Amino acid sequence: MSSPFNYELDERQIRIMLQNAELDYDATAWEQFNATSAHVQPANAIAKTNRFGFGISRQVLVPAFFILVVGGLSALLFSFVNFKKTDNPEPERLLENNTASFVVEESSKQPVQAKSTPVVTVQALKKDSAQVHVSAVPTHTQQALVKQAVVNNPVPVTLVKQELPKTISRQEDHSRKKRRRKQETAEELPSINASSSFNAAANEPEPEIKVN
Amino acid sequence: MPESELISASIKKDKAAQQQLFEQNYGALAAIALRYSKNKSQADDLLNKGFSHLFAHLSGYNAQNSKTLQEWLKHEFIVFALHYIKNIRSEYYVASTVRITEPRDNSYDLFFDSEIIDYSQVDFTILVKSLQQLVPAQRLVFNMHVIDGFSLKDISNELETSEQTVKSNLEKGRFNLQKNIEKNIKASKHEQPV
Repeated sequence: MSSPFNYELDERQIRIMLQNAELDYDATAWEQFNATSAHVQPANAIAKTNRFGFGISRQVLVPAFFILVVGGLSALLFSFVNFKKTDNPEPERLLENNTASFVVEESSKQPVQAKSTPVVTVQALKKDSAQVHVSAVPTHTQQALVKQAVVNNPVPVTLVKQELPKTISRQEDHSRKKRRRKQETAEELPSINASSSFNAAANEPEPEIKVN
Repeated sequence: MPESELISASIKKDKAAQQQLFEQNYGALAAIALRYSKNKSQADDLLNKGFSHLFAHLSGYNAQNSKTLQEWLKHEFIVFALHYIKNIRSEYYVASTVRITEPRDNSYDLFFDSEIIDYSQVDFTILVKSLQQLVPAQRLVFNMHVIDGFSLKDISNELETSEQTVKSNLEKGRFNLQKNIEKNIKASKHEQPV
């Protein structure tokens, strides 16, 4: 399908006509230019100051704003989470000192010798040491008392117990229990009258051995 | 005042020198502004802003260059006009993409439509008016390529579009310009009192 349009403009003629065309000078043109330039100039100055203050493009501002929002929210959430370990040791039980059964003697320079036989001696007492060697203290209450005494008096202290019951260490107690169980569960084997059988064998005649 | 002194005084914002330079180049630059813009008021605004731009950038003129002062001023003014028109985004982009179609007239006037138009004898005012009726993209491309002699590659670089788009706009501009000239010639003939 051919187009019916024929381009008939003489572009060379148009170029000559328009390229060198000049309008007549208008006397009011300069005044108009002065008025517009004076009006435009303060606006340019304002625009320069605005450009100095807000020279950041939208492509930078919008991602920065979103990063700030997301970061702020995540920081808010992190503030609610406690990452520290919360393994608190068991709270210490405050027990009343039974002063009638225990006599605590402070001996700064000369430690007092133990008087009677069931004596618990704490040799190495340190304030911060977690392992306190108390081998012969039977009950938990007594352990706590010893610890408390150590905390209150960092100097070496000798604990004297006058009438302690028979102390049994845990290990010994445990082994005894085991033995009892073994004794209880022991099987009863049938007894054989060995003496009668031996006598019967002795009465039998010996076989004769033939030698060639 | 010699040209070099006129330029140096204009750079120093001497009003008398600037006025002399304005008067010397008003006619040529006003004609350029008129064919690049859509009407007289836009042409006046373009001319005033263009002169302000030229006075501010007059220090960029090198007298040892091959161009004369008037040629340099024309070239700078055309580049400024191009950016001025392009930056009116409400006109440039909308009018470039939307094709306005006139309602089809089914009536046929034998004497009106059979007139033979001599396109070689087109008046200056009709030509400028026809150019002003083009959409901005087509007007810019036609002015720059056909009248001011810019290459299609330079135009595509200045307008930041592809060369194919520039060619397309040029063809559309040629077609529409001829239609506009035809319409304006007929209208001017019928408007004349008998």
